[in-house]
Amino acid sequence: MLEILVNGLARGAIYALIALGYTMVYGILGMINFAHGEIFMIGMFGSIFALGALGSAGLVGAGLTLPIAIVAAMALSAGFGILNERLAYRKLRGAHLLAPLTSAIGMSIVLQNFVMLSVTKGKLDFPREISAPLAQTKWSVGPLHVTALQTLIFALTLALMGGLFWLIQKTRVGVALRAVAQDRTMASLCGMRVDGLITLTFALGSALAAAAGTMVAMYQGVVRFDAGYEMGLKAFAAAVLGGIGNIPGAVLGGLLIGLVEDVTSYTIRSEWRESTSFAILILVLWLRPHGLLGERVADKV
Amino acid sequence: MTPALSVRDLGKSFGGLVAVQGISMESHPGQILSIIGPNGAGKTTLFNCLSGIYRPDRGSVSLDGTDITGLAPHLVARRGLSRSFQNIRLFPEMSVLQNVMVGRFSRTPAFPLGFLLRTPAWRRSEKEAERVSLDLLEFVGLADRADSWARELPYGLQRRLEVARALATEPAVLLLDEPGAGMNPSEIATMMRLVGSIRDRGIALVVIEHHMRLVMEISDRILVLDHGEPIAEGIPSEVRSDPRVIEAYLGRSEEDHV
Amino acid sequence: MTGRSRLVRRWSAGLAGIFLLTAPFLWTKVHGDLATGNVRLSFVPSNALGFLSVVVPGFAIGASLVWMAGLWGRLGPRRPLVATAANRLLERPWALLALGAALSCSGTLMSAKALSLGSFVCLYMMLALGLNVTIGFTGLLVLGYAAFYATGAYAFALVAKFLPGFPAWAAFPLGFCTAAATGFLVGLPCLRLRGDYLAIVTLGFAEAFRELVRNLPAAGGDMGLILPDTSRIRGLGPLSAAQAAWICGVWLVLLLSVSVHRLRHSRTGRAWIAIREDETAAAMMGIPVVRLKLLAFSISAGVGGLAGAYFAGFTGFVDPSTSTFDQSVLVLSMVILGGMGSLPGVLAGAALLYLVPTLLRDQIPQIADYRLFFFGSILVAMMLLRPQGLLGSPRHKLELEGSG
Repeated sequence: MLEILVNGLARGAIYALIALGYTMVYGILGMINFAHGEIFMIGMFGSIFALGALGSAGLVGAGLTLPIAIVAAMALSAGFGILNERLAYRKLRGAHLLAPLTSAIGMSIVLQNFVMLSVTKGKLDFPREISAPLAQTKWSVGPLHVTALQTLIFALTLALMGGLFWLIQKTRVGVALRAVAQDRTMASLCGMRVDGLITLTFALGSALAAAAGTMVAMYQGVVRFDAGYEMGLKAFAAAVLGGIGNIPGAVLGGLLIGLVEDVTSYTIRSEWRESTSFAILILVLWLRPHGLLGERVADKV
Repeated sequence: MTPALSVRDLGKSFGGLVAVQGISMESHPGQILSIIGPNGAGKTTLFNCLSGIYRPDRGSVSLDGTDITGLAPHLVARRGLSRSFQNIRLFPEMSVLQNVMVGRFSRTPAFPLGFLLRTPAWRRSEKEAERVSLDLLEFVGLADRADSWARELPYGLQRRLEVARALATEPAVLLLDEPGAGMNPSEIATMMRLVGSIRDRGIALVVIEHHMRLVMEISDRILVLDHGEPIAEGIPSEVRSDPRVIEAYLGRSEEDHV
Repeated sequence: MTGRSRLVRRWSAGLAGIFLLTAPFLWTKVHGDLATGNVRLSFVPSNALGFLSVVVPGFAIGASLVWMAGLWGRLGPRRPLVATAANRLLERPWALLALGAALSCSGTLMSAKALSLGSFVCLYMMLALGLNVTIGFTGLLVLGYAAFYATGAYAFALVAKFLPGFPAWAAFPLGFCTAAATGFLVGLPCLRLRGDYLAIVTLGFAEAFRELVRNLPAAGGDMGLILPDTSRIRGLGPLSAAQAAWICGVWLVLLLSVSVHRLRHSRTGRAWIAIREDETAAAMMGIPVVRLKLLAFSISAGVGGLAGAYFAGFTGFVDPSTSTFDQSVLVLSMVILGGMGSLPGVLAGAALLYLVPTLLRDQIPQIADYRLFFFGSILVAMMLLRPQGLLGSPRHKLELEGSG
């Protein structure tokens, strides 16, 4: 039973990282970033490209291989996140809600099919040399068994979230981000570079998703072009559960969805795992549409 | 005589911030009640509470003696309260006539399937909605623009279209949020004549306005708000000479009159 | 710095960025070494050339289409001719009856292949008409529209399985009602909220629906269900089954077009447009916004279900792949390309986006793989360049812009 909880929490930590991207963009723009799942998928591929490049250069095996791959994946996804913002959102910021939604959906389809067409329709293996040792090393503390990979997931998630909280709460950039989220016009009148800050939000969220992507790639051992679709849906459910726009809420929602999923697939039937998060999403929208930690926001008249 | 609109001890706060509190007022058919006060005094919040866009935290609102506190906007509109918006909110991609016809929504029957077969009864009701809407356009002086796009109208005419649209819901009480904002003197004069003729139709008017001279001219009563609270209420001459009003509003806000 | 050189600089910076970001995907290949579990990356230019050789001409054609549409909008007549003519036609029942009769008669002259293509065009026209009610009229985005299409198809197939001899004509109202009821239940929790929730909830619903039918033994699992012959659309007298399907499709499309057109030009339709334009102002006009959104969404879902029943009736089978994201995207692109809210536009969009890839597939086999890539590009490009759709006139350009 404890093992299920650990598995669920590890899965949940990953959802939480992705959910942060949804919630940050929603917080600052008031829009759902539909292409976020695809950005996560690009991160998965990015880590493999980086490892491949290191492999070709004969640099595999050094202790820095994995950190370099993670950073490279984060950079690549951040780049795509910025591209997404420029193409699908920036010109449509003042438009009817429908326009940026549609263009973002389009971006998501384009990205997914771009990867399918340019890389492979099938799967790509994550280098076992990197992932196998991590997945096989197990530590036991009493009845608790944790793999090194799960430990890495927890550690990295904690570190990234800590960094994000620090950035938002303690730095000038964080203050500016919160100001833009509160009132964009006012913030720009106060001399803040609103465009730059919005781009930064997309880049940060995308980088977090890429870190999650690298870990999922290691966890599952393979990456596919359509991996972002499902993951995006679940992370979105997590963000809504926690209260979209609310950063601690995204973390809470992610962990809860991960736990519930592993517990239901263990206790009921594993075929229904995919529907669990959808069922949760519908329930939340019914009972508490502003999420666990979110606040209701009234229409500005 | 029961007032058309009666408000008792209304209060609304956002988070810890009190937007309006302790507001009581009455508005009678065929009379104009003006609400004045410096920017941020809570005038528009008050309108939002009355029209169902916000749910007030305290107090009650009643329309012709029935309680409408906290009802959804469309139900409030159905009971006979309509409004205009400070930052004009028309349906830009509809024609001028269509904009007004939307206002007839709750005053025309539904015909669940009549529209599919275009039954004579349905045709009659469409014609009727069109006729009433054209009459209203005539009333506000927009009859010749009926087929233009709403978004193509100049600013001053858009304000008048908003009034026609609000009248199409057959309100007993009409709230106008700064009907003269952003207009030149001759446009304001036209608008005020329009407001006067709406009053003459026996509608109870509640008007937020900044142009002091106009307010003093047309109002039957004036309510002054400051920091979300009423500081004075009475007929124009009383309010004009009230020292608190002079201090809170007239004395220090020359820039508001521009 | 002049505006022109700034523009050149921004464009070249953008293109360089795109080149850099896409480089690892396009110009390299990853090789896995099974023995060591290692990967290597190598420079493979043929990969990029293969991709670009399809995408560049595709984009060029698309760009010239948009350019020509723009030119037509600027130089052509002030009133949108095609749209006006079609709208006039929709106001004249006799002309429509004549059109329907002519199309039905032409069915006897068409080859088997043309009949099948024609039936599919009718199918997608129905779907586009249905989706247009939510997206075009009410301004709500629905991403899992295929789920309602599949609901209708499965409802028909399941009833036909347990009630042998259930006729195809009765399947249309059945499909409509089942899907409309499903749409009502799915829409209920999210239509009280902002529009974007509906988009993602319907997306999730489509996934959950697919999982449901795959796991339910009664629904045939992955294999799907085959309709008994007695329930399919059958030939009648001298008409073959394919001809009957085409004729049935033509009349359904005409019936739906007229219904949707009349709905649009009624009190309900005006309320929908008002909601799309400004929800708060619409509510202040006495319009029950949530109820009307639910109505639009249920009708939209119902039309999808009717189309699903038609699909099951003329192909004779349903399987979980009816409810894929690809299908939803295809229909969404049809509505967007044709111009949201314009009936002739979405009908033309449906015909174009079904016929072009299908006909090209014989000449250029890889087009099947590139289909979705291009549909995605259409969604982005149309929003940025011509939100009014290809046929729409520039007068409607502001249709999607906020009202302040």
